Formats: sequence, structure tokens, C-alpha cells
Amino acid sequence: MLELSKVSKDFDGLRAVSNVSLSVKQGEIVGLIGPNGSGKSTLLNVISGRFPVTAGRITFQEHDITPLSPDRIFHLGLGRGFQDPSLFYQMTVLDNTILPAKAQKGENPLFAPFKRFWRQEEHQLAERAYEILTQIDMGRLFGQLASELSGGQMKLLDIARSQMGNPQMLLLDEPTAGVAPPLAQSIFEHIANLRQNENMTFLIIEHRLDMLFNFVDRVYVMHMGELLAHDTPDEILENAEVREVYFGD
Amino acid sequence: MNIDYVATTIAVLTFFGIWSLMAISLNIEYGVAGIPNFGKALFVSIGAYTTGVTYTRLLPILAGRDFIHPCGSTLADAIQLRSDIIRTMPVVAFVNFGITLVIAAVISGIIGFAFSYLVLRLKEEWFLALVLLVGGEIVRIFVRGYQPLICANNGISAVSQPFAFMGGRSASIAFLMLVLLIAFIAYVYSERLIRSPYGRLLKAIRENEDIARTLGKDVAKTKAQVMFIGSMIAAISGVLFAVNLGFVNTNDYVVTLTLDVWVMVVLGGLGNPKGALLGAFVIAVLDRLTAIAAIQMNMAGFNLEFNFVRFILFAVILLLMMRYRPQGILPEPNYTTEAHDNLTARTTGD
Amino acid sequence: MFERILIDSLIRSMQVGSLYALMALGITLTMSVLKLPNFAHAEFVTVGAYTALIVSRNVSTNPIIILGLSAIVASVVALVSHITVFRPFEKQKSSIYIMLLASFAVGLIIRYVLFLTADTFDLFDQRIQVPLEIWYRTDNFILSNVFFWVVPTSIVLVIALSLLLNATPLGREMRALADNFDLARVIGIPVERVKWLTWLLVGALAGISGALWGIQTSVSPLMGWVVILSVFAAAILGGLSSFPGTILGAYVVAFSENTIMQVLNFQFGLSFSFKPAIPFIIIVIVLLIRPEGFTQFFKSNRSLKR
Repeated sequence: MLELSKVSKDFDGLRAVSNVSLSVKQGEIVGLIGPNGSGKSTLLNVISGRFPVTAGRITFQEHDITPLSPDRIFHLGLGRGFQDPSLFYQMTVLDNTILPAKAQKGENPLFAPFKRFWRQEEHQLAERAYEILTQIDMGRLFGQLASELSGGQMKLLDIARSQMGNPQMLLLDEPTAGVAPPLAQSIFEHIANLRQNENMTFLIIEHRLDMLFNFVDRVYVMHMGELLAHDTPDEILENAEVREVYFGD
Repeated sequence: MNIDYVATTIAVLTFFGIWSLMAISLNIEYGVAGIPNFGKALFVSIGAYTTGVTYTRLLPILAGRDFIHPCGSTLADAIQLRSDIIRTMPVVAFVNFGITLVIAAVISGIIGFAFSYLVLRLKEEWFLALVLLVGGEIVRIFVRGYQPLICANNGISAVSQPFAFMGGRSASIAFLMLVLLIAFIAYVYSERLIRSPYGRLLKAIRENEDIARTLGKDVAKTKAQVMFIGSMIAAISGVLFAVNLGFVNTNDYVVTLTLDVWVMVVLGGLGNPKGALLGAFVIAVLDRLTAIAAIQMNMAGFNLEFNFVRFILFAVILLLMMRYRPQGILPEPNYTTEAHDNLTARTTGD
Repeated sequence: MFERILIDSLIRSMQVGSLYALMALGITLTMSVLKLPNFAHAEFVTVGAYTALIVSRNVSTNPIIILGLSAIVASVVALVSHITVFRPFEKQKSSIYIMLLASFAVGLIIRYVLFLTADTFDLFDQRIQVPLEIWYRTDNFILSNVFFWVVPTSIVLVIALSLLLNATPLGREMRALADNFDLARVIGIPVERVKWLTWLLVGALAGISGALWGIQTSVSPLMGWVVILSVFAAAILGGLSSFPGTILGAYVVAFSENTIMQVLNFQFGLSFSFKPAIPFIIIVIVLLIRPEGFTQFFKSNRSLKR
């Protein structure tokens, strides 16, 4: 589904990501781990189009997405979440959830002033958004400002709202960072549910390896901008190189 | 001196209507979408310059009269011709006025749209403010130096408003009604725009355009649309401004005009169209009051050029507002689409 | 004939460029150290010019005293605007657009206070009372005493400023602030004191350049505003960060406004009314095509990085 071949990214001559090739198949949950500064987040930003690549090629479902802008990539069905939850804090939970819906008639300035063009559509989107919010136990909170949510709720909403754009795949950057363990567990359960029910694919950066390894099919390990290893979770834990960079033994 | 209260009121309200248009457009651009348009004078001036051109070129054609060169030795004849047509052929005057509005809006909209794409190349956000500011000055210097447009420095006079044939006070009242009608339409449009999904999109872009982009929103296109809309409204206000004065001159469209509009929007409340109206009203009243005070003081023998005080006053208002009440007199309400009300009704009904 | 006009315009370019450099360095300093695109700089210049005018009429016609007092008054005005306006907005964490608006507002207030003053005491378009002498004359051109004040003074000031920035503790602290504000605070640089000194320095620069500008032409409340965008053009050519880049930019702008304009007029009959557009076109072109300005040429130099 997602293919990276020999992707590199330089910043001012410094190589942040070097020659990374990886692939994620339809319906998989794949982990991307590595010590701080190993280039994981940069790689995610490169895939999602926020940073242009220096070299290499990225394809998503047979489309070459290497040169595309983030909005085009989202439209092809590849969404992403952020490490710091990046909600629109001056907007309500419901508005945050509806916003990513694609091709809204009401987002056309010609139709927008006339409710009859978009009332129906908006109504349906609101119902759908409410459903998604209910799934993460936030149905009651739809009218609150996003800034009033707790940290864990923000992370959940950050993941849940991209569903409105019907993505086939999500890139997640530390979905449980700064969240208490029980909530972290439920965030991962939500991810597993999305895979089961919506057949969604995931590439997840995570530091909580114990949690991550319960849910992923395969793991890629990055170190100093390069891909160090790639295996199933059990095998990765046995890998000497990985143990060295991670645990120092 | 006796003050003609009725005439003053009409003048203040007319200026209020025209300035509301400018404030509404800046409110959509900066207040809602976060685009710092420091080139408001540019887009207003496009409306005014278009007026200068259509009143000298198009009007005689529409009236079936011969073109008289508007500058130089034939200046007086050209003015006579314009006044004759406007006074005796109201239909022609109206058609000309309507066409002027359309042409001005389209040209200005396209320029705003183009600017918006041009600035994608800018390294830092605030350079946009500088480029727009400077763009306005470049156009002004060009128009001032290039005679065929509006007779360079001399400008074009006798660009009367289309109701001039009625004469006297009824003409001013009729024009006032037209201005207020146009301002009202713009107000309703912006109010509805903000409360629609489009408004939600603009607010999202204002808050974090990077995130909006990763959620599939074409930020560049949306900003260009906003500049198109805002510039159209600004140009319409420019046409009204010019025919209200009856005179097109490059000196009216300088940086201080842009700053006046910023004062209105900051004073009234960023993001709230009602605030834009309120700001325009306060500024229109203050502007007239300082002018009257200046006249009165000079009559009373004070040797103080009170007109200068206007600028100091507005600058102080701007500073005080930004410092102590940055959200403006009327803060931005928490706009939502009606989807919220529907959901509220449904969930409480369960 | 043409040769004579050309030489004359070159001399003017030198003179104007030196003054632009002085003013633009102030813009570059406020931009890099204080992170403020300061449009009120125009009015600091005008304040300097009016101080020079008043001093020359009432106190002394000695150029040193005139320049010194202009520097002092303008730097006080700059510091006061920092304390009363810019610092509160910084504390409020206002956006750069609010800061930009605030600088416009400060400029407007100073400008129209000067208008009122000029109106009351009849000080419009007055010349500073400094005797004008011809110091050097050939068949082709004349150099007045003003030229010999303006150009060397500017050059000396620019050198002094570079020394200050590169060889003194204050200069180091200013550079640290320009580099990384938060880091500067953490490593214990007295941020507020450095800012005060920067404002005083910026004001003094503006005051001196205003006085010299007034000696060269005449004094009016709009004089600073009229040149401010030319000065911004120079600072933008310097990438709003590099000192040598800004100085080169100042001469480029002055050269385009005078010599190139003169040639265009002479050869193609382009009207002088288009002259004010030149710095604006430079600004737009540089910002769109080469926003780093001349900084690349001076990479090895220790420029004020933003």
C-alpha cells in the first residue's frame, strides 16, 4: 500500500533521513521505533508531504506521491496525526471533527452564503462526526471548545477526526505520548478497532514499546537516520543491534 | 458658524457605508482568515481609478457623444460633457455606474487573487504585509505619473454619483440609500460566510494552516479566494468613495487610508462583521467631528491645525485597543454552523 | 553635458547612499535584535532633523553640537517608544502584525505632533542654519562642505558600529539576542538592558542621519516617511540581517534612484515622477526572488543572524 524506496532528507546539508526503504501492506499495523533524533518524525513528515524529499520515491496505492502537497496526499487517502495534538483550539470539538471531511459543498465561497446548498450535507456530516465522537466516548463534548479537553482526549480526537476524510491509511506520531497508561491502552484499542472494522492501515511511531508490540504486525527500527532493522516484534527484541542502540547491551 | 445637521448626518452616514465595505473586507481577510492585507488602499484605489477611466471614456460612448480628451486644454469641455450627460441622461449615468462597479470589482479581484499566489514564494509571513503596502504605492506612483489614465497629478473631477440628476439634498439621500444597501448586502454576505462551513475552513487556516493542509485543505487556493472576495468588496467601496467625492485623485489612496481601515477593524473587533460596522461608524463620526472641530477652532481664532489631531487620535485609539482590549469592542463570537443546534436538539431529545 | 549630469548624480548617490546606510542599519538592528519591522524609524529620523533645525536656530551652528543633540533627542524618543509601546506588546506576545501596526501608530503620533509643532512655529520646509560652502570645484562638479560631512561621518559611524558589534561585550550580547532570544535569556544575558541600549543606539543613528539629511536638503514633518521605504529597500537588500549587505544595499538603492534614474530620464525620457517607485520595485523583486538579499556575499562575515 505504501512504498518508500531509498528516501533521503537533508536539512542545510545535514542528512536527517538516509536511504530509507520500507513498505506497508493493506490492513497492517506497522511500528516505527528508534531512539530520539533517529529521524522517525522527519520521515513521517516527508511521507505526508510536509517536507519535500531530497532523494528517493514514495508511492501510495500505485500513486507517486513524492512531489505532492500534504492536502493532495490526504485526498488520496493517506492521513496523519501529530505528536503534539494539533487541534483547532478556538473551534468546537464537532467543528474539529467535521473539518477534514472532503469535498464539502459548504466550503465553496459561492455556495457557502446560501444554507440550502449545504444544510443537508452539513447535517449528515454532523451525524457522522457525532458517531465517531461516540466511539471515543466524547459524544457529549461535541459543543465544547477543543482547548477545554484533557490531554488524552485531545490525542484521541486528533486520531478520530481524520476518519472523517475516509483515509485508507494513517500515519501516527506517538499517539500515546504524555497519556496515562489506561488511556494509552484504549487509544491502541481504538486503532485496532479501526483496522478491524474499517480495514485501515497504520504506520505508528511510538516509544511505549510494551504497548506497541501487542498491536503491531511488524516493526521498523531507525537509528541515525538509517533503517537498522525490520522484523516481527518478537524477533526485534532478540536483535543484537537493536538491543545495543536501545538498551545499550 | 451654523452647522447643517442634516447634511452632516448624510455625509457621516455615507462615509460610514463606504468605510464599512472596506472594514468588512479587511475583517474577512485578516479577522477571519488571518491574511494581513496592508494593501487595502491599493484595492480601494483600483475602484477609484476605474471610475476615472470609465467616466471619461465609457460614459461619452454610452451617451452617443464624441470623446473629449479629459486632460490638458480640453479639460473644461470634458468636464462639461460629463456633467451634461449625468444630469440629463440618468439611464446612461446608471448603466455607466453599474459597469464601473463590475469592472472595478473584477480587476481588483483578479489582482488580489494574483497577489495571493505571488506571495506563496515569500520566505516570511509578514513580508506579505510589506509587499501589499509597497504594491499600493507602486500603482499610485504609476497612475500619478502616467497621464492617459486619470490625467496624472490633476485627477479627474466631475465623476458625480448617478443620482446627481435629482439635484440637491434628494440626490445625496438617494445615494446614501444606495451605499447603505450595498454595505448591508456585503455585511449579510460576510456574516453568512463566517457561519458556514467555509467560515470554519477560514478559521482553521487562521489558527494553523499547516494542520489544515495535512487535513486535506488547499490553503493557497482558499487564501486566494479570500483575497479575491476582499479585493472585490474593496474596489466597490473605492468606486463609491470616488463618486461620493466627485473626484478621483491619487493622493486619497495612501498608506494612511489602509491604516484607517485597520483602526476600524481592530476597534470594532477582529473576526466579527458587526465589529467592522461599529468600527467604521465610530471612525466616520470621529472623522467628521474632528473636521468640524477644526473649522470651529479656526473660526474662534485658534491657530491650531486641528486636522492633524485626527491622525494622532486614531493612532492612540489603535494603540490603546491593541494593548488593553485586543479582541475589540465586539469580540468574535464562537461561530458554529447550525449543525450544533441540530445535534443539541437531538441529543437532549434522546 | 551628459557627463556632467552623470558625475553630479554619482556624487548624489554617494551622499544619499551614505545616509540611507545609516538609517537602514537602524532598521536592520531593530529587525534582528528586537524582531520588529519598525516603521516609526522614519519619524525618529524626522525628530533628529527637527532637533538639528531648532538647535541650529537657537543654540549653535557647530555641526558637532547639532549632530550630538539630534542623536540624544532621537534616542530618547526611541527609548520612550520602546518603554511605552513596544515592550508592553512584546510582553503580551502580540503577533508581528500587531507590532507592525503599533510601529505605524507610533510613527503617526510622532509625525503629526511634529506637524502641529511645525504649524505652530512655522517650521515647514526650513533649512538648517549651517553655512553652505564650496570646498572643491572642478569644471565638471562641485563638492560642498555638506558632502564632506555626510560621507565621512557615515563611514566613521558605520565602522564604529561594526566595532561595537564585533568587539565589545554589548555587541556580543546583541548578537546573541539576534541569534536566539530564548537561549540568550537562559545563559544570563541581561535582555532588557541590551534592548534599551539597542533602542538608544538605533535612535542615535536615526537622529544623526536625520540631522545630516536635513542639512543636505530641508526639514519637513514628512521627510522621514518619504524616505522610509527606500531605507527598508536597503535593509531588505541586506537580508534584514547583514550589516555589510545593508550598507551595500543602501548604495544600490541610492544609485538606482539617482544615477540609473538620471540615465533613464536622459536616454528614454522617463519622467522623474516615477522615481519614488524605484525602491518599491526593488523591495518587491527582492522579497519575491531573493529574500536573503546580499547576505550570501557576506557569508564569511559575522552577520546578525535572525
